Amino acid sequence: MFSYFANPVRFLKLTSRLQPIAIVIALMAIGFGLYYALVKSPPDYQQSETVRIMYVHVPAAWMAMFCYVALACSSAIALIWRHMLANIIAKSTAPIGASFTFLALVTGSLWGKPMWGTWWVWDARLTSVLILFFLYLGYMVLYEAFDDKSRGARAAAILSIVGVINIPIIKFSVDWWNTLHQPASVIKISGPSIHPSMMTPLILMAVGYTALYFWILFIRVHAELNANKIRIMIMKQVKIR
Amino acid sequence: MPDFLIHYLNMGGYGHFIWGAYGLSAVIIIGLIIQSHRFLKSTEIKLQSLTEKENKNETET
Repeated sequence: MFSYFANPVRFLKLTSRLQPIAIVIALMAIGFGLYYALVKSPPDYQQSETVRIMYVHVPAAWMAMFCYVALACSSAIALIWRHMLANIIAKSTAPIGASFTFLALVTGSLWGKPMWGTWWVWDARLTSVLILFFLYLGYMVLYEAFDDKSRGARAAAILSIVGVINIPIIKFSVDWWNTLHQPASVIKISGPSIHPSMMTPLILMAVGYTALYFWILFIRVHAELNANKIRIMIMKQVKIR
Repeated sequence: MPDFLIHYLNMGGYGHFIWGAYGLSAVIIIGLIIQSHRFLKSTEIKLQSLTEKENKNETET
């Protein structure tokens, strides 16, 4: 099945069907999520109203890691099986992941200032997420750094695969080191320790952000495939002349 | 502005942090969607003009 959809024409056909579904899920989940986040959910007993930042901060942080894993997996597939489409998926994922990481960092900072009394601390969680942001930027810069596009893609893919080590570091940094950041309260072995009134908007926003990723990814993959065709056509015309 | 709205927007004195986080999220996400659409549109226009050029060359030869 994987090889079947590695064909760009088939992939575009599939995404043209999936994109409207992703748009509907994204708009509905984020719409209801915002209503629950800003109206229905109660203030926290310790953090009061600032807890509402969690509903944009945590899904952004989850997506930052999800996108990076998707980027590294696509890069690995592109390196091993030399699928052009896998490279394009990785390249298209990078700016989306970088945006989510930037949002996680800045919304975290906006939550940190009133709760911790500081915009930033150089602790393990915050620093490892900042490194993730630089990995995304490094990937994008490296991809475009070579005249030979395939060399740039290969170098960027290797960087992304090496950088995947940062993902478990981000996840477990709150357990391994002393930090101001609170430990995991949703994804943990003993089950979530968060009240359903707060869990509902959090899950809705996470679903919305995931659908949003696929929505934007499908647009960007389509555009990158067009850009590839343009490059080939220009090269053909140059050869004819 | 009605009192209840001022009270709601104030968010217990943390309004600028909370609305700042939501506003920035909206700007980045909407900006990314618009930029991606523009990227797709620009490639479609370029591709169309190149295809037309190629077809024209073929008919001429």
